Amino acid sequence: MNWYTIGSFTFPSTWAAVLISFLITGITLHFLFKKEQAADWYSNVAFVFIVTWKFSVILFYFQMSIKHPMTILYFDGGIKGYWLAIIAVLIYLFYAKIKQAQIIAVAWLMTVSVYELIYALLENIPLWMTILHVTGNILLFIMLLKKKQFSQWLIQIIILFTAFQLFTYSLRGELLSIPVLTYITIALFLVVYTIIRERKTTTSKRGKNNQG
Amino acid sequence: MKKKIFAIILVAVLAGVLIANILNTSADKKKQSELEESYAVESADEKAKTKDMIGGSEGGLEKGDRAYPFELKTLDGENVKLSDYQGKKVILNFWATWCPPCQAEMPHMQNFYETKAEEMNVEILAVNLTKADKGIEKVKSFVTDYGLTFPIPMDEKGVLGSKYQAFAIPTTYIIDTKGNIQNKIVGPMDEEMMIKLVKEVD
Repeated sequence: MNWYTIGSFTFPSTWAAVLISFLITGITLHFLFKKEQAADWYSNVAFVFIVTWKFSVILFYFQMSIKHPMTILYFDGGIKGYWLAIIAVLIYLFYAKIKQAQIIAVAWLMTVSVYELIYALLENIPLWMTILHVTGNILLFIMLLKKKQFSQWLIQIIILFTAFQLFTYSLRGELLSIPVLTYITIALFLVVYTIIRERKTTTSKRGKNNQG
Repeated sequence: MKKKIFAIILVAVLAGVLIANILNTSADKKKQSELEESYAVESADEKAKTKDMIGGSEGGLEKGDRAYPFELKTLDGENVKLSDYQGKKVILNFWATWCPPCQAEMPHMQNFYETKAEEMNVEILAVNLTKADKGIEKVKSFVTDYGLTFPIPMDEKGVLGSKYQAFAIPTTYIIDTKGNIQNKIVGPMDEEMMIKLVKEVD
């Protein structure tokens, strides 16, 4: 893990990679999916994630936060706060009425791809690994964009994409790591979510047919 | 995508995962035995080098540099030398009582010291920048209020603080068991961060 210092603040490369990824993905979604207003819910996702992770420090370090309130300013909820933030985001995504649900998968693939690229640059990952990783991610992303309306295709790409991340992490010997666990968790959510949304649209179509 | 093609691609990727992990574990084992061999040869040279180093003021602040040796009196009146802690990892922290992030990180440092420091082979040296602080009584009451039990070397002349470039405080250096600097952290650390940093060095 490489640590970077800006001014009077030192942080690990992962934090920078996540923030930059949120920014770039958000901006790209804004231009690519203006009609669907994807940047709207995506920025909400980023907000929910960061705020939950940051203020979960009160929950997990309650006594310290009361006794030394500066804890809330300077610290965060740590790894427990991170997973709480992930859960909060998934709850948000589940209940937010996002019109084009396929775009969630697009946003996810983009977020991961940008994150992994920035992380590789900040962590001096061997060049061949980075090129392999980026190429694979871009390929899968393009494949996703091609037929994003069909849920079977969507699910397949999500699974392949996640398996590919497992592969690149295995090359680095980091298979058992938080990013990998996160990728698997989100992939599971996306697959289940896609299936549920698909069922809802088929039942509503059937209902309309019966009425006719 | 036809189910067959998807299944084949997925199996291929997962096979890659398996192979990559197997290759990595065998490479790790090889590295481990090579390292052990080189240590056996190295120890004789190391002893000669250390003898040279301790006398001089040679050192630096970059990763891998030898940490500048020093000798200071602690708040308790004891004498400490950085070289006393060879063989232990050292969290060398620079702080003052009036600095808010220093105040914020102290409870975390104390907690880490009580619960994890011994098993992780870590010592904490929290150098108080006495010259820039508000008097020894202030420092004493601070230490009592926060219940700190780790050594508090007092930089009364201000020389060490400037040598270690502790201009924005808190500044912390992570020093490995050989006495070399491995990381510089500016800003407060919580317990999780300290555990991560200490795990990363030998």
